[in-house]
Amino acid sequence: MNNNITKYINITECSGAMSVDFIFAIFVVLIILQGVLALTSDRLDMVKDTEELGSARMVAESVAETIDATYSGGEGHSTVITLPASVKSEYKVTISSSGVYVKVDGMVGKACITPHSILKSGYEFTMHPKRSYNISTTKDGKVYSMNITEVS
Amino acid sequence: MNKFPDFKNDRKGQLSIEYILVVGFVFVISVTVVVYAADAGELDTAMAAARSGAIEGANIDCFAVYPEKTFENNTDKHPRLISPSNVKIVKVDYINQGYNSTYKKTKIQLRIWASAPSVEEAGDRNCLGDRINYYARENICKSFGTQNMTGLGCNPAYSKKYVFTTGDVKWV
Repeated sequence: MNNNITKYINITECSGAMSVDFIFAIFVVLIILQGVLALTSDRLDMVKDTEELGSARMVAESVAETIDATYSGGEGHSTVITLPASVKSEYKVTISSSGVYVKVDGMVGKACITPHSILKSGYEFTMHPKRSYNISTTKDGKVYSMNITEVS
Repeated sequence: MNKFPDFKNDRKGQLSIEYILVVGFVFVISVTVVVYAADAGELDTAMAAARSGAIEGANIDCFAVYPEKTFENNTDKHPRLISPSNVKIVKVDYINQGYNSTYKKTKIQLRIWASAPSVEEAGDRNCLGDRINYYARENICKSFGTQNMTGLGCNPAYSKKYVFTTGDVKWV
């Protein structure tokens, strides 16, 4: 049995020797791998950052769109919106009469809305990930305004 | 038993003159290649980092999600940039400006070509370009861990043997 196995094993390998070609090939492969790995990890980090920014922008646009749609519905129209989970760092959405602002990891973005006054929540309202909010249109005299409350 | 009589000489530690010459020649060539490859590898790593950084800057321009100070500045002076725009990196290249005695390193100027068809004003495009250039330089500093060596806005960016500056982004 042993004889059969040793037939296929080069005797120089048993002595721990490797051919120059093999060593040179490994050396070249290692150099290429080093460059490729550095580039790959760099790009992966960039993709995660981009995903975070992209999702922050999408959340801001989604909230702005919901507010505008609810406002267009007129008095009594309401919509419940649930914010998605954070990608990496926790984001925060702030709604004011001038627009919807999203803050994530020290970065700020703004989605524009038709200017409305925000009722019962001061001049602005802050939303957090994975929570649901009810957005409704109310009429105070001749003025339409938005009322935003957290749905528990 | 001994089919290879030359092994006798090997056991005495003797090598042929041809072998010594070949090994010596290969050694000299290897040293030269390794030194050249190290320099080229450093520049290659820096360019890869610059490309990643430029794309990251373009992404930030695309999503219009900026650092707070930039956001405030854009709100006041460049309101167009508050809305998302389509920014693409077309090409990243460099010019070797030779050895710089001030920095005591080889100076490389990065040149970036980009496209932003939805942004037409030159001032707005400059602002987008500054962000692209900043992230290209910052990424080089991060790659080589030289954030402490550089000045404001990572300008210039340093690696071990090179110093990197950026020209204005060319819009196509």
